[in-house]
Amino acid sequence: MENQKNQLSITEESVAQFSKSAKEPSWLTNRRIEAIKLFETLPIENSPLFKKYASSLELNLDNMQLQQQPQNLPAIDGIAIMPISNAIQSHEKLIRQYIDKAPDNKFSALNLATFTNGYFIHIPKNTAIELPISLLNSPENLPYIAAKNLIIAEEGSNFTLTEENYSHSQKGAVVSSSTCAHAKEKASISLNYINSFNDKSSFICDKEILLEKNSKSFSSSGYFGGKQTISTQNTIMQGENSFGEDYGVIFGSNDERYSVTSNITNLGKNSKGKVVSKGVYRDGSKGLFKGMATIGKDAKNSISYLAGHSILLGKNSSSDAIPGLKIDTNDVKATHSASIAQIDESQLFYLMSRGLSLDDSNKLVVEGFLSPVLSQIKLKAVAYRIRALFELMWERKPFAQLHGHLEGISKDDSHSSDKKDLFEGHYKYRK
Amino acid sequence: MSDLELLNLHVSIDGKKILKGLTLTIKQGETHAIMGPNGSGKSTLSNAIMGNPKYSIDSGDILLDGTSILSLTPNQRAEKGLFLAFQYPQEISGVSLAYFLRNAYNASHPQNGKIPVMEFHKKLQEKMKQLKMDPSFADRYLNEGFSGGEKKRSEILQLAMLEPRYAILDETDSGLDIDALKTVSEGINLAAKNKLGILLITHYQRILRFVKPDFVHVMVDGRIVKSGTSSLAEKLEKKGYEWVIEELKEKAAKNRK
Repeated sequence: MENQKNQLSITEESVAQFSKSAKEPSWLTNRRIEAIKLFETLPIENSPLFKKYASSLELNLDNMQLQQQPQNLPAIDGIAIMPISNAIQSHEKLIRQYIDKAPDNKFSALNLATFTNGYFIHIPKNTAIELPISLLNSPENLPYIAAKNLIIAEEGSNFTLTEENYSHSQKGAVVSSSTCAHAKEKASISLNYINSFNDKSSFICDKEILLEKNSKSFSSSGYFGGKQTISTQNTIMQGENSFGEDYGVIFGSNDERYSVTSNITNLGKNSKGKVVSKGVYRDGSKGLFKGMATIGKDAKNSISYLAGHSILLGKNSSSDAIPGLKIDTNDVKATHSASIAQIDESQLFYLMSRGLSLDDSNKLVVEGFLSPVLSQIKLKAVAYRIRALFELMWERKPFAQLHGHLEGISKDDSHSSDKKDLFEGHYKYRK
Repeated sequence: MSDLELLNLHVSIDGKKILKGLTLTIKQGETHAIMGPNGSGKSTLSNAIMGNPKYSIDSGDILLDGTSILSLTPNQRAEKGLFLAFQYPQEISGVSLAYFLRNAYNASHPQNGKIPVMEFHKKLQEKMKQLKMDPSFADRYLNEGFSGGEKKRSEILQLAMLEPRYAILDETDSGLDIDALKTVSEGINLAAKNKLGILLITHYQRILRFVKPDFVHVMVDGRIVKSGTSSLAEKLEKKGYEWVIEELKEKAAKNRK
């Protein structure tokens, strides 16, 4: 089997050794050992459709070592923010509630077994953090980095996170990122991911968002480049009136492979969930979008919307979208949609007749295709960065010139709660 | 004097011959109306002039100021000053009319450098006012959800903004009520003041009450079979195309004898 080729130089022994030297509690050491076994034995995915996208997966994890990178997020008044390794010591009981679970897939198992980096962020009750908290995951010169973040937003709190994952050097690397975010009653959180990878590097990520009564989450992701991107998000609307949104943009070139999953689960009454993923694939790139919208038996009057759309540029790119619905109650509004299309030649002729070159005409159609998703991202620094990455990618220029932190995060970027109506952007509901 | 010459054009689509030797010269500042029954090849003509790659030019030539433009792409033709108002304008989702037009203006006028954003918007608002378009149209997605009449106004707005030297108007009057027809015609007449050469393709005579043609041509089966002045259009309106077709048959019969 192809997927069993991954020969880890990380073994049960080395994981145990790392855990001990970091003075981790024994439950975590045991979890790590269990997880590395699971990673070695679990298949990438059982669905035959998925295999088409995952067959090229070769995570080169040879010669890697578990190594902690220096982490120095600036302190922010009023919130607990610290490397996860410190938090395991100082907040063991709390952390254990979230981490001491068997991982449910191959890649979350890898992350649990090997994480050395990441943050614990705890926003106290009724605290609003004005400026976004900005995280960076870059392996620099390491072949592998794994970060685990745990975010707890207490009742009535409000904050925004950005996470940039990148590898711009010529070397191949693997970045694994795992985030669990828990929004308690009336809390509002915004998580924004921006990826830019060279074509030798891979990105693996899983995100879980738990929403309690009257809480909200907004998440966005811009995935640009990378040999292989495997991303899974689970947004669980546990409480009544909770609202989770997830907007994603993917731009693939060359031989890149993307497998993006976003599941929404409505458990609470009157809860709303919305996922929109838009992919652009050119050259020989391939992308799979999967999403399962589940509405539990107690989630009366809830709304679920799941859409995966992609545009193929050129003849060799391909894409699939598999949205699914599972509804266990009545009185709900659930919509899902999927499309895969090439740009219409009549549209190109129309635009070219106005003076735009073929390339600019294609680009304009693609920009228009992405704009309903991009316009949802209210955080200007993130929107600008995604725009800049799109331009570089379109022009086939290296990402290296866009190093480091997002620039220009400012007060007017404090996340706003004036989100537009859930279905406003959808043609079916537009006036 | 600048001119656009169509020389013995033979054009086909998917192997089907549509234009069968069409010849016409349009000088800058002149308005030519082309009328003809359904299926006579009017839309093929407009697509061929603008360079739609779906149509193949089997023989003949299109000259702009004496130089062939057949090898030019549609955007290169636009840069040379050609414009086509589409019978069925495309919808481009997610791209605002204003953003599109600014890009199109900059692309079709490379010699001017990029137009300052403020200057562009001022001009756009002015032209929209002339066409009685609500200012909110500037921010709407290009033609998406526009009514038939709104799409035609959008085409004439683009004509007014892009200031070409030659405009082909492909059934711009179809689907317009009388008020919209008047407004759109005023827009065409305003653009025409700027020494515009116009090829007005239409089914009906009614737009010619508002846009006065210098010449009227009747097209049947891929050729121009009769040319005249605006009085020809009136005659067609009264007697229909049958009359021209009958006349053709008589001529053909005579020639055989």
